[in-house]
Amino acid sequence: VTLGGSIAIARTSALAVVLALGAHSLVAGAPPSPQAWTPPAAGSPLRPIWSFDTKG
Amino acid sequence: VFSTPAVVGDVVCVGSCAGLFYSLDRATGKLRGQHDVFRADSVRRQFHGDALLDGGLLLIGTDTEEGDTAWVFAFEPRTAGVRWRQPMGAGVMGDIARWNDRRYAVTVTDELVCFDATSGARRWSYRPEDATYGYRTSAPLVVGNRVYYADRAGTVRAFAAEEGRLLWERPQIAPLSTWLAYADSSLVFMRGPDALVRLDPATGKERSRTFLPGGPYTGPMTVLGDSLLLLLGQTSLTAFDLSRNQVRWSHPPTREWTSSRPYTWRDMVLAGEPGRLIAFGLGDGAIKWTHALEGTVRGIGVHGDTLYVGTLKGYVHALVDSAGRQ
Repeated sequence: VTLGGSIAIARTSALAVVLALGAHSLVAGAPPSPQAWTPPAAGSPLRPIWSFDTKG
Repeated sequence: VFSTPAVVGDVVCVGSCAGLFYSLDRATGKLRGQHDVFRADSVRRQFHGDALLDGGLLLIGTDTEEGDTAWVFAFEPRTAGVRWRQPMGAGVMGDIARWNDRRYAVTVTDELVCFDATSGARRWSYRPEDATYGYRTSAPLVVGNRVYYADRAGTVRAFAAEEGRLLWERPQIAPLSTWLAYADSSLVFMRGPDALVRLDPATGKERSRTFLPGGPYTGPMTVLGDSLLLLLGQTSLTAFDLSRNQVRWSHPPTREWTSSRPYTWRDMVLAGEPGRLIAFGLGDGAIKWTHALEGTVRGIGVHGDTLYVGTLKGYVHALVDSAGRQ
């Protein structure tokens, strides 16, 4: 199998997976993809009061 | 520390991976009492699951290596004294469920066990034919007078909670990646990496399945209100609206999510990763704040204005909201 052939097989497999997922999703309205990471809006309001080491 | 710190009155209790159960003063962190489940016979036992507050006692499982015996314990929270303990094969790593005077757990060998709430005595159990030792981490689900359980291979079963009579069983086409939950009048779980499945609790018949990206999701899911399902996997924290059947919001971690389940506090969802605790708005998933912590965040106990955060380095950190009362 050539590199090109492998890519073609991979694309075919990917298509098959997509089709399988489509058939698998019996309920309409597939949800959106996860959101990209965004920086935190604000610093932490938390203040440390104690720590305990369980050593485990 | 894998277990979620549990607050009971003026103490916070936690079981460690080194086999010690601690009772700590909630305000100061001072040690009130401890119990060692390892040194007595040098059998290595660890705490991994969460404790169930039950009639003033904390019920929690321990687990050990194949061939050794671990117990489920009932601890007095204020002293870490043992009220009772009962052998449970090689132990329990998941949560304990309750129904009337019965309690239920799934062992690391994939056996469903029903035991007495006041003594731990075994009432009935169910062991799948192909059950083997393998650090099985799961929990039964009680709805009404039934207890539901999914085995490692992916068969979901319903039992009469009282006597353990098998009511139905439904093999799934792939193992469950999450624990069972009850929401939207259905048994809900993730099957494989991306299928959110609803079953009819009465019959086990599949009601729907929905493609849900971002998986695999693992461990317990958190159900809020009638329809909001929170799911956590190493690569996604997702809020799914069951009534609209769509993702409300979803976040990848910067490295990997490491907390053991999605935790809620006020109007926020808390999740942890190595070196950081993050709070998201429940409604829109917006980041409220992040808090740097040494170690990898695992269990997050909540009480009033204070969080008790366990890390894999073995620390429990008490953190108070600086706008709060303390």
